[in-house]
Amino acid sequence: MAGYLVRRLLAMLPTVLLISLVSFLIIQLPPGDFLTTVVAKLQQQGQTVGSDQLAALRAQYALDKSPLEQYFRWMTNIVLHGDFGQSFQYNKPVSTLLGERLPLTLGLGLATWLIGWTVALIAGIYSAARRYSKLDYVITALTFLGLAVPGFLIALTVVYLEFKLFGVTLSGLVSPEFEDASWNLGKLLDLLNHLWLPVLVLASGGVAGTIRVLRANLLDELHKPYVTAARARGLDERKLLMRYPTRVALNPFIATIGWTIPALFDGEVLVASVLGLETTGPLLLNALKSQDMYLAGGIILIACVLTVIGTLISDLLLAAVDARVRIGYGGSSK
Amino acid sequence: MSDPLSRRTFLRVSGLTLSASAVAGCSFFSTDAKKASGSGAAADAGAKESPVLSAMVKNGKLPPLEQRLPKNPMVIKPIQSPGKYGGVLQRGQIDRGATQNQYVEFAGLLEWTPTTPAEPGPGLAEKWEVLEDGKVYVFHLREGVKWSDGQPFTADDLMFAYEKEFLNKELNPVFPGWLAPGGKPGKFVKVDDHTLRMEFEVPHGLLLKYLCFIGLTGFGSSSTVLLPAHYLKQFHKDFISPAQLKTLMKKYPAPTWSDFFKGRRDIWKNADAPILGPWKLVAPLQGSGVTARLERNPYYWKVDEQGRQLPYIDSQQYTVMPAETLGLRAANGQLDLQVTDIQAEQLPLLIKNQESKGYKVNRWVAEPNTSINLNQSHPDPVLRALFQKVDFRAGLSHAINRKEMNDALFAGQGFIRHPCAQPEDEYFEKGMGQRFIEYDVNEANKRLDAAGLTQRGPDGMRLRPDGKKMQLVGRCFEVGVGIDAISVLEYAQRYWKAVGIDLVAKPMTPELWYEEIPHGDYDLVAYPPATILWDIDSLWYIPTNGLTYWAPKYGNWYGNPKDKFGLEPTGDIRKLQTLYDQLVTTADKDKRLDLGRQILKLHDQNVWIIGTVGTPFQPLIAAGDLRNVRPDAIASFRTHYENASSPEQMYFDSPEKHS
Repeated sequence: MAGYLVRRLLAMLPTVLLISLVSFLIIQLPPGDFLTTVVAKLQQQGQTVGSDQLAALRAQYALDKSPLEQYFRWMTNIVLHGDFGQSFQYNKPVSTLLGERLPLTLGLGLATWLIGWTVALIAGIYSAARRYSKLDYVITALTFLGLAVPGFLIALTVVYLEFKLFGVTLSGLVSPEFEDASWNLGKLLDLLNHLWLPVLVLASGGVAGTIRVLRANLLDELHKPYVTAARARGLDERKLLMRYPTRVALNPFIATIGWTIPALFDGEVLVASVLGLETTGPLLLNALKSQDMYLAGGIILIACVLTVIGTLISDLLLAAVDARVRIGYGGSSK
Repeated sequence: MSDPLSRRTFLRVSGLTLSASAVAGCSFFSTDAKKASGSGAAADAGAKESPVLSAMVKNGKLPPLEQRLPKNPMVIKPIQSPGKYGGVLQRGQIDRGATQNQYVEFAGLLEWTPTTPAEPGPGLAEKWEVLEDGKVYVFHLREGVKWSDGQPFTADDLMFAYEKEFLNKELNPVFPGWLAPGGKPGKFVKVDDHTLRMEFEVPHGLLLKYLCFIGLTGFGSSSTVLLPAHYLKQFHKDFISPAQLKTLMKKYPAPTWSDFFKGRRDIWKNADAPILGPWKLVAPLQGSGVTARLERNPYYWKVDEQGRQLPYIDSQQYTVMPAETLGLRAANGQLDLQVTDIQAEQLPLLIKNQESKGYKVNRWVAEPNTSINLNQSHPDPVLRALFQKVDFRAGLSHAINRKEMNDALFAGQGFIRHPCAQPEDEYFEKGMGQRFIEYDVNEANKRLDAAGLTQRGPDGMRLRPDGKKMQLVGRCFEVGVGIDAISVLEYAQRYWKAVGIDLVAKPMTPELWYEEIPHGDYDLVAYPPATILWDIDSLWYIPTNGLTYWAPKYGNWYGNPKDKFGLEPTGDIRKLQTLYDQLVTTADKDKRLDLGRQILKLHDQNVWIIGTVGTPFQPLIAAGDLRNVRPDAIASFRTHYENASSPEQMYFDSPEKHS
């Protein structure tokens, strides 16, 4: 197991480097650079920038160097000094910008994930165990809706209905009157009143998918001989369900933890944009749009490191949970 | 709770939210949204200053009003009536960057008069003289004006901007063009603490206008003239040692020194930066937060006719939200003053709800008129020659059914005109911009034939004069104002097909646009040009750079005759450039007006920019009890949008409802 772990960890390094290089270069691929965006902004305000001024600016930001040169400079700083560079757009270090947004991003992500999984687990197991029951049909119908309707559309619809029916506009995390009020029960309630919508919307897409997968997996397992055998031995139906087939059916859950971790970090872009949540998602979107490459590159790099780590965790967890996986590695469990 | 001091303290320690709430006396179990202080104290009509400030004076935290005001404060006549002190102005914005805040933190050496058209009027300079035919301008600063931190504002601040900002190659690689008429940089000379001379080698025709315009002289701009020298010296390379600078840049990291320096004078991000405008930033946007707060500048130098210090309104709160939410909030009566970021499609909802939700929608004059810009400097000599024929442009214009577009898009309310400035502009002459404008397919065909497009291909479409197939490509991107550029191209496509002209629309991203379009290798673009105060923003009517959409290569040539994307203009287009060169260096108003009219007349005769339908009006959303708002004015960036109605003299009729 230790050897396996070391091998995996070593293999992660080139993977991360390669992904970061490719993503850095892709960010630079579109014509123009951050200064193009600056010129565009100035132009919209009726100002003009001369070509000599532009050249001088380019030199100041080292944008006149080749993309590879820029990449190596950036990477060296990260490895040696832990410095992710500066965001041009915000005129702040990338790490500060991320730090400011992480609490909300992670909080929202975790809440969504916990609620989503709890709902999905219960609904998925029920839906498989009581196949073709009335409630199963309801769950199935809802999950198809959840899968088919994009999250941002649900968000927009709910926001509009709230406005139409109750005359309130949900956006951001607290109402304007509480924005710079001190923390009290009112603000906490107000926060919860704003939080349910993004959590509901964000969870809806994921929950639906997970329910379907869990239901299908569990249905496969329910008719396997070991279930029949256990039932023949007079095992209590509920105990049986939870102890054997559900455990096996959980594998896809565990396998997807690897994707959950980076998703917690880089947040949901569309829904967050529509609901005005300042998570890292919209930050990345803006950075990409304005070619703020160190900011975009930094977020993508961290997300890809987290993906690689997440995958490793998934694999380890799978091995821990499922004996078949352990044995499949051919004695590495020794 | 009613002690305004506790709020100031509170804002500083707002990081320690829980303990701060205890300090301010708020119970955690309270569900009240009241802030740590109540600014809704009943406003006494006789008071010369806001109760918030008089309480601070009483506590010794602020000098008395007489010491804060200049010797000769600027007296403002309120638009309707003298106001009451107090209240918070709620505002929204889509972008996290600085937008509307800059207009209310701005103060000008000169400021626009609240008239149509806006004229340069007194501001921080109470009077000025124009000497030597406009080569020398002498400004007399109001004595005793103070920055928002209480430090005096003098000619030294202007000298700092000139010597340490404009002449610093790192901050300004190129000396600001607006201070260099005829390409020759001007000079600032301090006469005494309150007198400053600006000297130029040739007469400066537009200096007074430029000084009013935030885009060039405001705090957000790189060529601002009003910098707090006393504050910025501690961050400027010329005044501190490299070691000190290093420590400071560790505290406020930035990619370069110039970014660091600009960050320190950023009035949207740095609450410590002193300003001269009516409101100042106290709580910037932070992290995932979505609000920023501005409060009254206790040293603001304007008073009403009774000598009461402005502004009337205590603070402003800016909330960042998506466009859809912003529209809904406005329709819910939750935004108190809003011009920017209101989307056209939300207008019906906004108008429908104004009675029931207690706000009003004022109709201001709008500028945008999304127009078709044929590239007069086309790299292909055949097309260039064709595009330069008046008959060709006349034919294309006559083929457009503007009435149909107007009915479909604006319920018939839009205006129909070619961009040739607009009636509210001082250079405009009645009747301009109406040539070839009526919908007439026969006339269109006649004109296109006359332009030499007599041969048609097998598909019935007209061929180029050299017999090749002709397909014009129209480029556009989502500009955000006026009719969607893509819709304009789609209408044109349909109308022109009827007269045998093949057009395809090709939208692109803004990033690509600003990279490619200035090279000038395209047939035509759809874009709304500026139509008011165009003289201080020359590129729309005179090819002065690559973003002059109807003649980019000629514009590049004007900037630099050796530009590889440049092309030398001839005839009327070259004449525009020489006329503008004269206009910039003509200080005499009548002569300047004459030159500007000659420029517009050339546009009127040539219809280089083919107009479609202009936005009927720009909605201004105002709270029901917000007073002293102009019912009509021009909404333009060049007159600072809502600031055309001087927010410092606006007030709430019931400020206690806006705390």
